[in-house]
Amino acid sequence: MRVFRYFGGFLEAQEKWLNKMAEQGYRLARTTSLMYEFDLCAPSQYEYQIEFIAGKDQSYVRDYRSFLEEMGYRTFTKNINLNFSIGKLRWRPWAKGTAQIATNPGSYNQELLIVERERDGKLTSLHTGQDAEAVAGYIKKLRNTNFNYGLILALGCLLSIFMSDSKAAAILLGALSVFFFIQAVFFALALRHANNKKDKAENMENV
Amino acid sequence: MRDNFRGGALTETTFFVMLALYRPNHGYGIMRFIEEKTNGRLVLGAGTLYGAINNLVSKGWIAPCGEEPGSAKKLYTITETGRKVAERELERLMELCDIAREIIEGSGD
Repeated sequence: MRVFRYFGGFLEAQEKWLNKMAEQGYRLARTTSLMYEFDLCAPSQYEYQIEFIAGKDQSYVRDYRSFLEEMGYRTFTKNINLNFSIGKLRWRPWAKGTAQIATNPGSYNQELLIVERERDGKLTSLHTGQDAEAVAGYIKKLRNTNFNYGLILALGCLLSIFMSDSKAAAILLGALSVFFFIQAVFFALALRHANNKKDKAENMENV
Repeated sequence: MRDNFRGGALTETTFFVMLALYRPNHGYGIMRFIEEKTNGRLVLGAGTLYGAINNLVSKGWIAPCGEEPGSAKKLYTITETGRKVAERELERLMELCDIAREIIEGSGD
């Protein structure tokens, strides 16, 4: 079964949804940027967890995935952003080692690792302390980028209204601007959620 | 997961991982060992365990020692340095226990 969904920066919503699907007897088989493909399985046979891996370099991710698969888990990669360009290069100053250069195809659209394991009644998370700060930093950048695009396009839209008679250009720029503003709001909400989580993790550490 | 080793203390996770490797063991084996020894009180997440293993390998306290025949799972074992660290940690804990016992059990007198 194929389902089209996009969760963007809402990592927990995605995790919850995958777990709900697993409860109903659907096991993840494949992911693409907007689509999840499921196989049938026994209800509640598996459970899912999502981990943010964009700050890790490829050899770490490879090694980590093979470690998890040795433990009997299955892993999938997933994107946070929606980007369909090929040959993209992006600098990630906050990442470590060669992970600082993200490419598409490559690590640019593989920010998340979905980990599947058999539900054994024991509720253990992958990490005792999640990397909440890296997630928040990443989503903040996405929000800013989308907001800036929206702003520039909105200005372009205004300019074309006053400077030229072409309505088509104004409508196109306006529509694009709204599109980016909506994405910016989407990421802003995700950021607020991530920041709350970060604060909670910090409070736990201080106890 | 930080070990304040100048003060001598290891985290519980670190110490348990080292104890689990007095005989060669793989990731899953370490996890089971800790779970069994603590009767399920301490269950490590796979990601946490992965971090702990890598951290200890880079410190030179444990080392990879080939693969388990048949399953190709990576095996690890404790090194000589690691044993010394573990022995020192045991001494430190015994000392701590003695002091705690003296104060807590002696406080009634």
